Amino acid sequence: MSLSVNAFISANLLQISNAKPSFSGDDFIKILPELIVLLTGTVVMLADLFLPRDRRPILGYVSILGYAGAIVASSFLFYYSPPAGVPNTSFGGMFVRDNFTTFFEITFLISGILSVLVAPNYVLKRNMPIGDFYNIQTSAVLGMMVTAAAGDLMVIFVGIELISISVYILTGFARNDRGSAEGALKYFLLGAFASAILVYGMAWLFGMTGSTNLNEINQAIITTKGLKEDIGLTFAMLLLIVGLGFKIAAVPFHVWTPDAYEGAPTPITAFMSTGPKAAAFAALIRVMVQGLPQLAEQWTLIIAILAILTMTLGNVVAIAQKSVKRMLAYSSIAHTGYIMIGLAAFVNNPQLPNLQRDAIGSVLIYSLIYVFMNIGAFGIAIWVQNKGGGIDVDDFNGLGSWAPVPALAMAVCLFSLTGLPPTGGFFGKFFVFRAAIDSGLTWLVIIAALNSAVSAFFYLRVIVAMYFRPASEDVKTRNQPTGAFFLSAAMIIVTIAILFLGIYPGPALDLAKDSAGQLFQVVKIATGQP
Amino acid sequence: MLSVMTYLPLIGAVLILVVPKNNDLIRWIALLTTFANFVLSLILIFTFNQNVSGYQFEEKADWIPSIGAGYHMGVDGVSVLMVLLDGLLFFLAIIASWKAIQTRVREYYFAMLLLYVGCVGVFVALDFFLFYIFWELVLIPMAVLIGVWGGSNRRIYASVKFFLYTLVGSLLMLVAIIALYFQYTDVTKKASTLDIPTITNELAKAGGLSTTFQYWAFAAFALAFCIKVPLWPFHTWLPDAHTEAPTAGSVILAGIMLKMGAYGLIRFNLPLFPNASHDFAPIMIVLSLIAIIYGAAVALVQPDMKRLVAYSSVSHMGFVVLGLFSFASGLTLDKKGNELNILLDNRQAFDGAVFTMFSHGLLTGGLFLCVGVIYERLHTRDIKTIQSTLRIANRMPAYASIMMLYTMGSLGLPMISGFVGEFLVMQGAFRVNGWYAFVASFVIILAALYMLWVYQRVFFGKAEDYDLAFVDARIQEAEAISNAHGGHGAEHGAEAHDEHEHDEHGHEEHGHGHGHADKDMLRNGAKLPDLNLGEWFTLYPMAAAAIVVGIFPSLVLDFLGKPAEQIAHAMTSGAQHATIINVDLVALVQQLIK
Repeated sequence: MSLSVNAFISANLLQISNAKPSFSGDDFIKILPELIVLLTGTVVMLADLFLPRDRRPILGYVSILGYAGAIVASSFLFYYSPPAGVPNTSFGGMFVRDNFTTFFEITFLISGILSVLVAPNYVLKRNMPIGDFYNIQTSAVLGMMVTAAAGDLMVIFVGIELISISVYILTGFARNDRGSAEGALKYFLLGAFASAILVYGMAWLFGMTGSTNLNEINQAIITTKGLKEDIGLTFAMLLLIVGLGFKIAAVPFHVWTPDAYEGAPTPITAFMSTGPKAAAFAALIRVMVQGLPQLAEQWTLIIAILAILTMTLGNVVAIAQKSVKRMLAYSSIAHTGYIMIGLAAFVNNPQLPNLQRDAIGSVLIYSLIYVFMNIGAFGIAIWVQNKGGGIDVDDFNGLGSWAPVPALAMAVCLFSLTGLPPTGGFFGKFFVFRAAIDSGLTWLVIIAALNSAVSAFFYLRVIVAMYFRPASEDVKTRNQPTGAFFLSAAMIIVTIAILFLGIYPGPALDLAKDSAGQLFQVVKIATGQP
Repeated sequence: MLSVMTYLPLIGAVLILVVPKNNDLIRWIALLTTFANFVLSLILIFTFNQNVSGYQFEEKADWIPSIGAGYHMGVDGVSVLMVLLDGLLFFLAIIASWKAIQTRVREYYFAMLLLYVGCVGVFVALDFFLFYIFWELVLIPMAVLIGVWGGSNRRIYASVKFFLYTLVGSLLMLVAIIALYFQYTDVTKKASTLDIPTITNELAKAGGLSTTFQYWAFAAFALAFCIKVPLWPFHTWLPDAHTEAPTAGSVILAGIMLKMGAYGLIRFNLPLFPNASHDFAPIMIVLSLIAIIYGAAVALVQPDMKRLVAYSSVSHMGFVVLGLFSFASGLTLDKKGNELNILLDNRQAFDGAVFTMFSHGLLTGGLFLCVGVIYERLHTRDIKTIQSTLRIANRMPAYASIMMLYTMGSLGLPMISGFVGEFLVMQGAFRVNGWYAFVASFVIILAALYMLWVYQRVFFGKAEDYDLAFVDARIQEAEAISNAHGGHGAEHGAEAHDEHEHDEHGHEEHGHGHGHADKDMLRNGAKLPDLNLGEWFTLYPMAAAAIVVGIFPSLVLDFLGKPAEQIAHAMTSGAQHATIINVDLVALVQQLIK
């Protein structure tokens, strides 16, 4: 039995490694969502050239339509299974189409749609070129999708760079704003540095194992004697954690985050704190779980320690912030920490499939919920800014009385970020904690729980400002209606999604767990464990 | 039935959000909703079968199968009493806020009904996940009630403090719930679940959890519940929250939310962690004794009537914890096979604890309503101020008599419910150790002291006490504070002015007061009207209930027979026999007293 399986596996691997770069129709089905997004980006870019300036906002509809089409395509791909004997990879193992990919793709696309929805008023008011905005954003989303689907270090690098470069541009999008330029420059310089570390780590890993394909790397570590204990491999792993840690904004690689998040135009901040972060997590999971599961004991410990630092620093520093935007920037660092707990809960023991699925599944579901709640919070911040107010906590004073509906949406998002039931944020935390406790990280969970209590403190400040404090004098003058149809739509979607994921998370959870399960299927086939 | 009771207020709340802005309509919706629920709770208690052990009116459905969370509701003897208390107190609280709340009426009743959902849900949920959701759900509306309709300028502080205190405890409890969830599978080798009865029963069958785990989980659960009860030294949020909360908020807070903590101890700590309950019992008992004495002693010196009642709550809730852990310390394994009987021998302690929970809901709820009555008229709760101007007993005889009744009940006069509970608890404590009962009974003297003293000062202020200069000084002080208070003053300055004009026309239409006393009323008590219809209606039925259960305690106690047996059974079969430690209680207490 095992012989035949092995034969099958080696045949499989042979096929992967010797595959010529020839495309079949099947390959194109697998990358259909990516193609749709690419097409959308191209259409937006071209149309932007020919449309008169005042007609360009309709490009938003094109973007949304494109993303929605990609979501539909992705959803169908949940039910896609390759013909028997054919691997679910394409382009010579470069691109993996499993449910893990698909789940993340949908997360990214949702973050794309929501950011398109929250952007228009803000961007138009400040005379930023809206067509370019949509166009660059599509390329970032494309980068994220490619990253999640990567079966090879090279693809991960290409994807990450595609995201990073797009987001550098977007950060500096407010050309006349000093903060924006400062944030973009800092982000770019540090980001370039991190990319260099990342690619160095990849090179090192290639040198140690002789391959850039994640499955082959794993295979090589298993089969080559002494490689697992090799210090060089650990070094490569550390470099990769540093490089990707920068992209997810884990402490101590987070220093760019507050400035970039605060400097960037708020819709961009909403976008870059959700989608690209989730994409970097996808890359981290691909590299660590698919490529280096043999080193799990080492990297889960490192991730756990980084998670503690990340949560604690994010939450503690957020308390001191006056600006809601900067507070949300630090809170997004803290949430990176929570997500990392899910990853730290991974155990490289195929005998415990449930545990593995829960660990990675918790990362998936948390990322999805996080997209909703964070863009929601930023969305209301944008709304307040659009009204001509600033973005300090004081600008939210009395929002509950002069704008009850946005205040309610903000409250839902903030309670969700705090992790209170019955919101999605609570369920996300619950599931992350559950996975971590299952793999024996109770101490980590206790720290995380205390951190949540700390975080309640600063989220509550906004709630207090909104509901308990009277509105300031100038509210009447700035309370002019602006046609915020897109923004309202986004907020309605977000609020409903948060509550739905909080009250009836079953289906989404099953999907996440199933998607994580497929990742392990890939790992299993690669390592020859039936 | 239980689901209807839980979600009916939610429907009411949504209705309140969508109806046109008409304050009376909103009030009527809230009133009818709570009345319907009160009727349902009466039906529930009358159809409840006291002689059946286990849960009744169960509802079960799948919810999130992949984590083992189900939608499971049901009531046993303890929770059915709490649900009745829910129904009664919310109904009365809505009546009590009829005139008291004039600002942001829609939001107020929305928050109130949302709170109701959580308060019913906590007592009927039989699934950890569901329980936790309701447990946290009560936080937000309560914090909003305190923060928006609260009293003085400390209300935001009080609201945030309340929120954070409770949240810290709950989060650690969440960790413990998840840990328990995995431990359950490890111990019983059964499919993982979050269903509370299943976990309790299966663990009891399998011989219980390991002692170490019990200790940790007990600590996490007990922290959450002790903060809520609140047990000394976790009580500091309570006086602030009570002082700032609107009257109805205080009633709910004291009458129901404090009970949630004690209920949690009964439902989770005792049956799930029997060894820990037994081994930690001395600590818990000592803490509860400290709470009993400390609450009473601090109540003695409070200048504010509401704060006084709040501290007396700390003292009374100490009795509940004392009773529960006196019951738990009965768990011994000296005589093998007889544990169940030994434990049940001390059933009085358990009965007394639950009875105190019920009667405290009635009596303290009533006391807060009484304080609300006087506050609405005078806009002050300062005992000295009231004493210096008025002899309320003459002007408001009906009010004076009903307050007398609540005062007597609260200090433990026989024939009123307060006595029964405390007596049973002390009897139970005595069986464990005479010293416990001695210390606790000592407090009855203190209770008589603080309750009667405040009564005397407020109602029988003598002519020689009258000191209008003092009153004027206090009024000016209060006005200065409320005006100096930042943007708040700017908004409410005008409003306060309006209030004065209204008063001159003899109207009773006040918004939430801002801690500044009403000059006219205080100077000239002639305008002080006695209880109005709404107040009659809120104060008298509750007093009647307190007397009825005071005279016929078996009305309540009959509900507790089966739950006590059930818990005793779970405790004895879930205890780790080999590792039980018998703490020498006498030596410990003697040492502590020294």
